[in-house]
This record gives sequence, structure tokens and C-alpha cells, in this order.
Amino acid sequence: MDKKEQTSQKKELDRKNMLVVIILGSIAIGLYAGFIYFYSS
Amino acid sequence: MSEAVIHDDHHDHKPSGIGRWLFSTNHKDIGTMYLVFALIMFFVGGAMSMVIRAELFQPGIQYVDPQFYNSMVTVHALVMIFGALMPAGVGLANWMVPLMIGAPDMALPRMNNMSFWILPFAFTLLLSTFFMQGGAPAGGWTMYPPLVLQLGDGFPYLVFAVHFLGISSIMGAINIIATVFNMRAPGMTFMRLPLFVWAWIITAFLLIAAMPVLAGGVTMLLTDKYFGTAFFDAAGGGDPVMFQHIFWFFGHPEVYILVLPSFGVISQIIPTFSRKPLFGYTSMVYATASIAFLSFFVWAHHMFTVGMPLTGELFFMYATMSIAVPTGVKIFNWMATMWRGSMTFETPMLFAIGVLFMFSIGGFSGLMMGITPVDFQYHDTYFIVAHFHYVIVPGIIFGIIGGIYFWLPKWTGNMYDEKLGKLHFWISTISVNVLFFPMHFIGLAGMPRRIPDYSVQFADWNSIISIGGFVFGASQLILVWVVIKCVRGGEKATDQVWEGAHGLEWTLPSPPPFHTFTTPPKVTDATAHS
Ligand code: HEM
Ligand SMILES: [Cu+2]
Repeated sequence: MDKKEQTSQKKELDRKNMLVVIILGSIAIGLYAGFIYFYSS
Repeated sequence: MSEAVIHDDHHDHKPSGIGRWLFSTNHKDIGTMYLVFALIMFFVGGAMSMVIRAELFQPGIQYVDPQFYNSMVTVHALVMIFGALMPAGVGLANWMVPLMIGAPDMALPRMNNMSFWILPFAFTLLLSTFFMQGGAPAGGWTMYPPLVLQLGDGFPYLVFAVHFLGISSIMGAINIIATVFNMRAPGMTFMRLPLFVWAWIITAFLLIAAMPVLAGGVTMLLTDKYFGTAFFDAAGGGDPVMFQHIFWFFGHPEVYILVLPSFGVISQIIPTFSRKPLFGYTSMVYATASIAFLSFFVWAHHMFTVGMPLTGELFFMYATMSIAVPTGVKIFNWMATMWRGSMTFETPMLFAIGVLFMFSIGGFSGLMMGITPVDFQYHDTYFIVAHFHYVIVPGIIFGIIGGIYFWLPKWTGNMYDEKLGKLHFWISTISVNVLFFPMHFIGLAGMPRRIPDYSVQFADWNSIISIGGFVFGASQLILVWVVIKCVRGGEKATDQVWEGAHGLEWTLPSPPPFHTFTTPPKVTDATAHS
């Protein structure tokens, strides 16, 4: 595997990892804020 | 030996000094730190339980004042659950998940470092409350208002500590999910994942769904106390029972967050020492997932006595019973795995079988308490204390300890002292039953929980229980001794370590080099776990 291909694979992996962080992170934060919001109204 | 491993040996320089640990992004080092932290917390929480058992050795007030006794009960639980059990599970995951799926490390190594280092910080906050005006939390680990709001200066520290613990475990959970979803070696399909990995994916999703709810609940406590809100204050139009609903909506999934990793461990151990593949792999995966799903619909079995509508009581009773089905599937699968296997009984296997027997005892008392009308008798008595200590101590802690014995030769490269391991198992098993079984009796006879004094008719069993407790506590020092001895040397372990062990982690040298699987291995049906 040449260098270029490796970096592009690495980039692709980083992208997928960030996607997981963003999706699951938003779910967690959403649950937290949503719960408080739900009970305060 | 795969090419990857030989290649790795060249680059096997570890960073040195304290920086290796402080700035670590290596899953093995972070796993080790989690496990060591958990072990320390196990003894901190254990010391508190020794204070409790000393006080309860005889009726009357002997050693500590009631306020401090209540702090011991409360902080013991918080330390054990959030400081010992959860970090131990995450530590095992950090060490083993990348090795089992053929990944070079966790997907998000820097976040991994952060998740760990938040923990000592959070526990410094929590334990510092002992030195504050008003003392440490004393209203129970469940933090029910209005009682918890009476805590003095320690209150915001408790709330912030819980927030930090939640952030740490959510980051850990996201990391595990990203690792398993994105970093599996070629050929490592989901249905080839070892069950320990499956158990952890499911646990991670539980964490992400449950921890924010707890954080939301304690945030509302904080605003109730300091910012004039009345979420849980009846005088301001709020409802204190609402906190109980929020807490247990987190709290029951939490008990599965604790137990599933331990189930995962014994799903690795039992096939190894039965020299047979796990029976019913697919049904195991689905059973674990259904336990997790159902765990969100049973929370109010902790609140049968608060005065719910009858339909509510019935719903939560039947929902609770229904969890017995997938749990039964798992127990029967483990037994079927052992059936006609060429079994041997090394220490990890002893602990795993201990889990089967004694977790089931706790499961049965759980079923009893899940029956609404009879729970009116059991609620807030020592029967509850017996129940959850059976599921937690010989159910969860034994599973974790079994995992430690199982993987210690892989981690250190040395075999542990089998004689001492067996001694540890037998003393622990006998003493844990002396400690917790009689609690069923005094609970049924009406002894309330969380009380530093009691009527004299409970005196005999309480002193027997305390003796069991002291022996159990002391026998855990054997574990420490075994671990230290094993780290320092001993008979060299082979790569496979156990005759019946299969899976990627056992193809690596023992101990594995600092960096593993930098070139991903190829997984086929033959090399897959099950
Ligand atoms: C997975 C392992 C389990 C763990 C770790 C666990 C843990 C606990 C804990 C910590 C409590 C006490 C909470 C408190 O402080 O008030 C508790 C209570 C309870 N558990 Fe479990 N449990 C487990 C399994 C079960 C099962 C299988 C059932 C029923 C089928 C069950 C039913 C109950 C009920 C009904 C209560 C409330 C009793 C009361 O307060 O009156 N548990 N459990
Ligand atoms: Cu529950």
C-alpha cells in the first residue's frame, strides 16, 4: 500500500469516527437537555 | 506468528516516566490505569463497608455517630458502583476489545485518555466532601429529594462529581462503539465478534441512553437548591416522586450496565474451559440486546410502595418478570456450553461458575421483589440488601475477577499462582455467602436497611454477617498479592495461554507488544472466536 492510499484511508477512518462522535454525542446531549426542558414546561 | 506482530516488535518503544501514564493514548496502558484505579476504589469502598459491619456487629451505637454511618452507607455505594465496578468494566474493554477485533487501538485515543483522567478528578471532588461543613452525602446513593437537599457544602460537589462521572462514561461508551463499528479487522463481521465485545457494544448504548438522564436529574436537584426552581418541591408545584422516576429510569438500566460486561467475560471463560464453542451464540446476542431493551421499562419496580395507580403497579410487575426470559436463555446457554465439555477448573472457571450459581440466587430474590404485593414486605429491608449484593458481588465482581485471572497471563506474560487463585476463590465464596445469605432472613424478619442500630432479635445474624464481611474483605488482599506476584514474574505464559482459548487476542505474544495489529489480521471462520 503506498503512502497516499494510506493517508486517504486514515482520513476516511477519521471521518467515520467523527461521525459516530457527533451522532452519539448529540443523542446524549439531546437527552440531557431534552429531559430538563420537558420537566421545566 | 503474523507479520504484523514481528513488524511491531521493531517499534516497541514505550514512552517513559510519568508522562507515559499522564498523556497515554495507548489502550493497554489506559486499560491498566482503569483497572488499577478500580482496584484502589474497591478497597476504599471496602474500607467503608468494614466500618458499617463493625458498627452493626452488635446492636447499639458503638463506633461512629449515625450521621457518619449514613455517609458510609451512601459513599460506599457511590464509590463501588461508579469507582470500582464501572471503571473495571471499562478497563477490561480497553485492554481486550481492540485485541479481540484486530484493531491497533481504540478509535479515539485522546478522548480515551480524557475519559480516564476525569475519574480521579471526580472522586477527589466526591471524597473531599468528608472534610466539608455538613459532611459527605448521607441520604443514600439514590439521592432522593428532599433529603439530599439537606446536605451541606458537599452538595454541589456531589452533583458535579456525578456529572463528571457521566461525561467520562459517555465518552468511554462512544469510544467503544466507534472502535467496534469502524476498526474491525477485515473479515471480523458482527456475528463473528466475541461475546465480550457484543456485551460491551450493548452496554455502551445503555450508557449513552441512561447517563444523560441521571445527569439531568441531578442538575434539577442543583437548580432546586440554589436557583429557585421547584422541580421536586411540592410547595412550589413540583413533585418529589418525579425524581424517583427519573433516578430509576437511569438506575435500572444502570444495573445492566454493570452486569453485562461481567456476563461478557464469563461468555469467554466458560467455552475456554469447557473446550467447546459457546452454545447458542446468536441467541446470546439477541438475549443480551433484549435484556438491555427491556431494562428501560421496569424502573418503577423500585417504587412499588410510593403509591402508583394499580395499572402502573401491574405493568411494572409483568415487565420485570419478562426480563427473566432472556436472562434464562443466557443461563441455559452457559450450562449447555459446559454440558459434555472436557471441563477443567482453573481459577477463572471457578469464578465463572460461581457467577452462574450466585447471580441466580440474586436473580431469584429479584423476581420475588418484582411481585408487587410481596414487595411491600421486602421493600427497604435487608432483603433488598441481600438481593443486590448477590447480583453485584458474586454476580458482577466475581465475573470481573474471573476476567482478571483469565487475562492476567496475557497481560503480563506470566502465569499467576494457581494455588493462591483457588484459595482466593474458595475463601471469597464461603465468606460471601456467610456475609449475604443471612441478610435474607433478617430482612424478612423486618430489619430495615440504612440504620446504624437495630433491635436485639437481629443480633446473632448480624454478628455472623459481620464476620463473613471481615473475612471477605481480608480475602481480597489475596487477589492483590496474586496480581503483584504475577506482574513481577512466574512461569512464562504461552501465546495461547489456555488450551481451549480461541480468538485473535490469543494469537498475540504474551505480553502483547505495546502496539499490536498495526497491520490488520485477516479473520476467517476458522480463526474467528466461535
Ligand atoms: C442484573 C443484576 C441486578 C442488579 C445489579 C440489581 C441491583 C439492584 C439494586 C442495587 C437494587 C437496590 C436499589 C436501591 O438502592 O434501592 C435492586 C433492587 C431491586 N431489584 Fe435488582 N438487580 C439486578 C437484577 C434484578 C432482577 C433480575 C430483578 C427481577 C427480576 C430485580 C428486581 C429488583 C427489585 C424489584 C428491586 C426493588 C426492591 C425494593 O426496593 O423494594 N433485580 N436491584
Ligand atoms: Cu431495578
